[in-house]
Amino acid sequence: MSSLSVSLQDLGGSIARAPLAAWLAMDDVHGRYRRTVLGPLWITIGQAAMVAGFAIVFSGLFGADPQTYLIYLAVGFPVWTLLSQFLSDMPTAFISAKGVIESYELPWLMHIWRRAFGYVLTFLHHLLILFVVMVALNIAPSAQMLLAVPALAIVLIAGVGVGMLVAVVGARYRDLQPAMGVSAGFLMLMSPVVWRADQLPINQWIVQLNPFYYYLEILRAPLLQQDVAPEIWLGTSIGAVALFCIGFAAFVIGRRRLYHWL
Amino acid sequence: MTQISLTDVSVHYPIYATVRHRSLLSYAANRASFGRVARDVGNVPVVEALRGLSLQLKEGDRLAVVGRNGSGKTTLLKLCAGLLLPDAGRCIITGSRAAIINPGAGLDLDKTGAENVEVIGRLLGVRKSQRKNLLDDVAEFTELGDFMNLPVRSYSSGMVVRLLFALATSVERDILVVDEVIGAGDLHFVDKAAKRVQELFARTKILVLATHSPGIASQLCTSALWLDSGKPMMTGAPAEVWKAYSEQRPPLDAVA
Repeated sequence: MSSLSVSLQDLGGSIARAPLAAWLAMDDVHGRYRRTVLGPLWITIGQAAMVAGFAIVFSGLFGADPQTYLIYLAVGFPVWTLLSQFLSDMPTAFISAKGVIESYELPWLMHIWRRAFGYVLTFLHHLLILFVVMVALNIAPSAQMLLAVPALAIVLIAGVGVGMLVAVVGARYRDLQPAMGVSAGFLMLMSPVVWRADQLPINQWIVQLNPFYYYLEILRAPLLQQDVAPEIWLGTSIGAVALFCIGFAAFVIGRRRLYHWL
Repeated sequence: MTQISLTDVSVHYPIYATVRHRSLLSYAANRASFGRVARDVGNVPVVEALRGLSLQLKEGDRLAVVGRNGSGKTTLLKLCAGLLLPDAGRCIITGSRAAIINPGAGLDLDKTGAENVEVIGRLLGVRKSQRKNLLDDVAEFTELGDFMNLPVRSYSSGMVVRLLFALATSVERDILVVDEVIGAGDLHFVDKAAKRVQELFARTKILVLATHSPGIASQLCTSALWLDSGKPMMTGAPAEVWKAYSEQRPPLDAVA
């Protein structure tokens, strides 16, 4: 059994077990709020406070229209959280699954999908705020928003690719996870989450060379009922496939040693 | 067809002795300085856990693995369970597998016994239509009664052990790999547990069992393998292998 054939079997098996991964992800979210009355609604409340706080302070600082800025943040924060979790949370995906890996005959990559579906669930909880804001500001939804579904699929493929890579490296090198956690704040400031890409007077390269920008844009713009340039659709799709291949290659290379690292 | 076929298999274990061995920063510093900084990063000690082992198991085979602590028993089990891949040699394993190496994985203390059975049933791949049967089976074996609907946190340690044991022994697979911890240790403990284990073993096509008990080896297994420092020393009937193994052991005063 070569590492490649084992890994390919694992990948196929993990896709077949997607329903299990989704169920476990839901169970994880419920489990986190098991002992609270409001349950997973806490996710939404936390995010609402964040969006409101930023909207109040920064709309004044930036001289932006408060309503436009509010809705920009109500989409931007959830999308950013979704993207950054693939980097900051995935490094522990295999480490914390050690017991389950040892005890049950399950594809190892199922644990990557499990976490990824968890991030999507959190994202959906966060998005509730968008709909509250839309109702409050009397903004009608449009069919354009449905483009967020294929965009989410692209983000998911790219994210699982990144996830496989950092989960393998994170198992081998235990300082990857704290390093990623520390970088998350910096990366958020460097990405157009609280500020707008077109507001940047100088140093445009910060946006142009930032891969996060394109994945932010592809998921955020449809939800804001804005157009996404075809190049961005194409670029992020190619990028997602490339990231998936890189991540899977890391898994194939790491699979032989992975159990020793856990 | 269910089989385990190992040909001249070796497994090495890296031993990450210092924090630096597990640090991406040390690794980067070492590479950036062409090895002048953090010199020990490159020399991760390696233990040869299995050396040149060949093994053919087919349907109906029950193998007892004996040997001292650190002789490679668990490594062999993990290889048979598909957790490890060999560093050299060929390893072909066909058939569904179950491993009782680390019982208790996936148990959530905040959930009730029944909820845990639900989660672990899913992890075990028990179909929806069968999950009710699993719950009934576990409830009956553990005799937990109303405790099934209380959080596991409120259980006594004996109750937790019963729950874990019932779950671990609830599904049939082609290949069953059992570490002594649960398999042997609990066997003589309770008759009910012993009976359940023996029934499970009887339904399993291939059994690989690590044990320190000659009684269990000859009672439950058809053959035995003696490992020493990762090398196969002897294969044969359990009683003979055990005899050779126990004669080879240094007398107690020599160890002290």
